[in-house]
Amino acid sequence: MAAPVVVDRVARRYGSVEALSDVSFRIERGGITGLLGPNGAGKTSLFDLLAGLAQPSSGAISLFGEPLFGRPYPRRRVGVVLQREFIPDQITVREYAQLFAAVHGVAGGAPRIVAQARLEQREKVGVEQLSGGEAQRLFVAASLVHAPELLLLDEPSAGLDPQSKRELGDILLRVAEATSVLIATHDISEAERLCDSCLFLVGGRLRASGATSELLATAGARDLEEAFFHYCGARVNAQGDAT
Amino acid sequence: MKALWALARLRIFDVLRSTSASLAFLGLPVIILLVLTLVFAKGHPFEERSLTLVGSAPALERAAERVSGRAGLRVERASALGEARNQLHARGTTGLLYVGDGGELTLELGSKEELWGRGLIGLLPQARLLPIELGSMGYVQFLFPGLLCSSVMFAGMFGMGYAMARYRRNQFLKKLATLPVSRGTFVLAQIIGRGSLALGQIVLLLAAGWLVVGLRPSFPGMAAATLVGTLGLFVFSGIGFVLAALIETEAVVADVISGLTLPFTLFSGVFFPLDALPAWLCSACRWLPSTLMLDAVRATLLYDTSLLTLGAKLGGLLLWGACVFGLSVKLFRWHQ
Repeated sequence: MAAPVVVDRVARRYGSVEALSDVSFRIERGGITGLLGPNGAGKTSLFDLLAGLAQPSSGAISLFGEPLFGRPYPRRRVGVVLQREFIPDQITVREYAQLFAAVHGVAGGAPRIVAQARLEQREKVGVEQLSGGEAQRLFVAASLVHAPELLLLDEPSAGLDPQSKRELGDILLRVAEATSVLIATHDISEAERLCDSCLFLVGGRLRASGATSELLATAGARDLEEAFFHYCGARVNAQGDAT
Repeated sequence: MKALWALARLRIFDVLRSTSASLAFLGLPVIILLVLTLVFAKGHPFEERSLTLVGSAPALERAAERVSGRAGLRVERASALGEARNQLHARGTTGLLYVGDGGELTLELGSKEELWGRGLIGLLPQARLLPIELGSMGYVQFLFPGLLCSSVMFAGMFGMGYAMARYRRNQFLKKLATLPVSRGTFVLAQIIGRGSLALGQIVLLLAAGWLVVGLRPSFPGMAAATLVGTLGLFVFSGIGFVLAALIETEAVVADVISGLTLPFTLFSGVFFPLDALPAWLCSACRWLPSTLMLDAVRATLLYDTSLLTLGAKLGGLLLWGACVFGLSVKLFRWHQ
C-alpha cells in the first residue's frame, strides 16, 4: 500500500525568498509525525503544500501514491486543521457540526462531531464563546467527520492551557490508531509526548527525520528538546526564531 | 500638555495613515460636490417639465414640431396610453399628449399642472385640456422602485464584496480550500443566501408600499420586477466580488461601496428621470447596471410594461453580469 505522503526534493520560493529548499521525506501509514522547527523554519509553507493550498516551485509531492498537482486534491481522504481556524459569528456548536458534516457529505455526521469533541452539553453555545481547548477539539472533530486517512494539523495546541493540550493530545493519539497524522508544531514537549517520528526543519531545510527514538539515539540526547538543539541548535536564537 | 498633543497626534495619524480613512474623510466631500455639479448642471430636474407623446398620429407629429426645443420642456415618446398614464400617475412625466377616441388632440395632466397646461395649449390651439386628480403619493411611487433597487444594489455589493474580504481575512476562504466543496458552489451559496435576505426585504417593502403609499402593482408586474431584481443582484454581487479582488481589507471595501452608492443613486434615475441630466451624461448613464435595473423595475412595477419589450435592458444586465464575474474569477485570490 502506498505511503500517505511522499515529498521529493521540494522547494518553495516567494520572490527571492526561499522558504523551502530540497525537502524530501515520507510519512508511513498510521502514527503521528511531528514537523518541528523554530519560528520561520518553513513549517507553514510545507504544511500549505501538503494541504494543497500552494504549489511547490520545484520538486514533487504525492499523496497515497498519486502525484498531488495536475489533478484534483484528494480532499475526501485528507482532514486539515489550520493554525488559525475560521471561527464563524453567530453559529452554535451544533450548526458548525452540521455545516462540516454537510460539506463532507456525511449523513448523521453532526452528532458524531459533537460527541467526539465532547461538547454534547455545549451544543447550543456559540462557537465564538467556546474556550480555546473546546474550540480546538471541535475543529479537530469536524476535520475527522469523513474518516480521513491523513490528518494535517498546523500548531493545533498553540495558546492552549496544559489541561486542554493534554485532552487534545489524547484525542490525536486515539485518531492515530487508524489515521496518519502530521502535526506542525514548535512545542517540543507536545511532540515528545505524541510523535512516533519527527521532521526537523530549519531555515527551509530538513535537518533530520526519522523515528523519534532513533533521532534521540543518534543525537545522544535524553529528550527531544536536547535532540532539537542538537540538530537545529546554532540556527535558533533565544526567542526560538530561525537565524 | 505633551500628553494632550501626543493623544491628538495619535488621533490624526489614525485617519491620515489609513488610505481608506483619509480618502473617505478628505476626498468624499469633493467627490460629492463633483457628482452634484454634474447632476444639477442644467438646474434642478424639477424645474423642467416633460410631455409624453403617445402614439404616432400625424397630428401628434405636428404638435411635436411646435413644442420641441422649448426651454424647460422635455419631449418624450410612449407607444401605449395605459403605460403612459401609469407613468403620469407615478410622476414620471408631467403631461400626456394623445389623439383621443373622438380624434381630438388631448393634453392630459395633473390638476396641479393646469396652469402650465393652459400655457402649452397656447402653442397647440387645437388641443383639448384634460386635468385629472393624480393622488398625493405619486412621487413616492416614482421613488419606490429606486428604493427597491438601492436595496438590491447594496445587498449585492456589500453582501459579496464585504463578506468575501472578511472571509479572506478570517481564514474562511483558506479553510474552504481544504474542504471538498467547489468555489462555484460557495459563490452561488453566497448569492442565494444574500438573495433570500434581499427577497425578504423586497416583500416587506412591497407590503409597506401597498399599505402606506397606495402602490398597486399587478401580479405579473411584481413577478417581472422580482426577476429583474434577481438579475440585478447577480450583477451587483459580481461588482462586489471584483471589489473584494482588488481590495485587501473589508473596511476599505465598505468605504468604497459607500462611495459608489451616491453616484449610482444619482446617475440611475432614482430621484428624477435621467432625461433631466445633460444629454452626454444621460447617454452614458443609460448603460450603468443600476440604471438598466431601475428602468426595468420601474417599467414593470409601475407602468405594467411587458418584460418582453425590455430585452435590451435585460441583455445589458446579463452582459454586465458576465463581464464582472469573468473579471472577478480572473482577479480574485482566495487566500493569502
